[in-house]
Amino acid sequence: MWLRLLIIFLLFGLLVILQSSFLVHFRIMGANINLIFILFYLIVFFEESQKYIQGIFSAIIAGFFLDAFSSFYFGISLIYLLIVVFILKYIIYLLHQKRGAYPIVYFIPLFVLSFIIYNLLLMITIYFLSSPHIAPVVSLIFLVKIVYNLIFALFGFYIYKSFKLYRLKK
Amino acid sequence: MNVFLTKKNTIFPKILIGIVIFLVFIGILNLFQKQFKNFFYFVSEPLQKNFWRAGGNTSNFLVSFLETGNLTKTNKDLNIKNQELLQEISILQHTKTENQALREIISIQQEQEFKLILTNIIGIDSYQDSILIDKGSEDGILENMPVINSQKVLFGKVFKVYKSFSKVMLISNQSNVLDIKIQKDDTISPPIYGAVRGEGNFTAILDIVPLDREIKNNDILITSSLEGTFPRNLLVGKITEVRKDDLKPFQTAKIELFFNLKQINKLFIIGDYKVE
Repeated sequence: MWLRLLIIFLLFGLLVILQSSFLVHFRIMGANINLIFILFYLIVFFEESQKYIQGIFSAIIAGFFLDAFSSFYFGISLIYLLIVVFILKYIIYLLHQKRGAYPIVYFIPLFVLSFIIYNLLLMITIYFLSSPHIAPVVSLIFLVKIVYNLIFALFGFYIYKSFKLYRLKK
Repeated sequence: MNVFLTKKNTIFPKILIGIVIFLVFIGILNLFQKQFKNFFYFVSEPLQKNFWRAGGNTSNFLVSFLETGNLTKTNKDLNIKNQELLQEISILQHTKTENQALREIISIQQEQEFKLILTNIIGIDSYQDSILIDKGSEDGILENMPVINSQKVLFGKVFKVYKSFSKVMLISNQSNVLDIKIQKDDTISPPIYGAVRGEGNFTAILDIVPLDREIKNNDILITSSLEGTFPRNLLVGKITEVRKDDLKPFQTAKIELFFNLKQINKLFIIGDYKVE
């Protein structure tokens, strides 16, 4: 367990550096990839619905790194990711009771929903902390951002799933 | 006897203690925010610089691969040349309209006297349209210092200073409003002023231009120095689409900002600009 948490910590540390320096060169229409959020979502989605430790730990570490490399106060991304964890866990718990699996039809809408919630909360924070006006949530750039991140999240979904299956076989 | 020590009653104090520890943790982080952030930037700087360079090279390679041949290089050279020429036009027009030789000389001298501090970009915060640079308070950097490139294209201003690093708020940041002047060929009519308002996602719009003033596509926007943060005649962007609505007191326009983060990693901080 501790080894897994250490790997998660190091992965988030590496991804936040990659995200703020390498991936910023690959923006499409101003939309960027949020690898930290994608990894965080994958961990929460694939964790058993009754368990919380990995999800909460991921939210704390991902939020911590996102805040450290942003201009926000410490705690903002962290709290928002924790909110997303609890919402996601509750929905996954309800879905899990019905189906008992992690199909892609759940993955896509839940990713879009959690991505919107997180970004909406950030936009509200920017509005109250610094900006006198708020950018429209339903804008073309935001839609491009969702699609762009979803493509990478889908790659992550299949990699994570095959990794999980490989571990189960072992 | 143990009726109060049910499972439900023991969970509540645990959650409460957890919340208190969490809040104390956040409080400590924010109390020493500058030190913590400076430490993280310091530790990650070598990796970030390499990733930044690698990202730029890969991106340029992909672009040149997609656009074939030397198109990217030619385009980059032409962009630089274009920006230089625009800057020259700007200075020439300014000289023509001022019509006060002595004042012009003083102005040029002031521009030449800028203390420019060379800096490297090492990261971007896309959510807040800000960049991280490798110069901080130990290099004499202060808040509100303007940041430009070698072609005098305005990027933004320093808004957070750490020991060895600083954050630069780009002019596309949503809380940024910048007074500008629209460069016109016509030197007889009075100059047109307006404001560039950051829209986030590396975009901005031109606002509060009076309805009776004529603006058109490809008009160049330069700093006017009215707000006192930036020196005048720095290049900002060009108009791409004018939006006129008779019901509104002002006209607005979509603009293309001149700064390009993909093709650059060295910037200059104006270290000693004084309000004219």
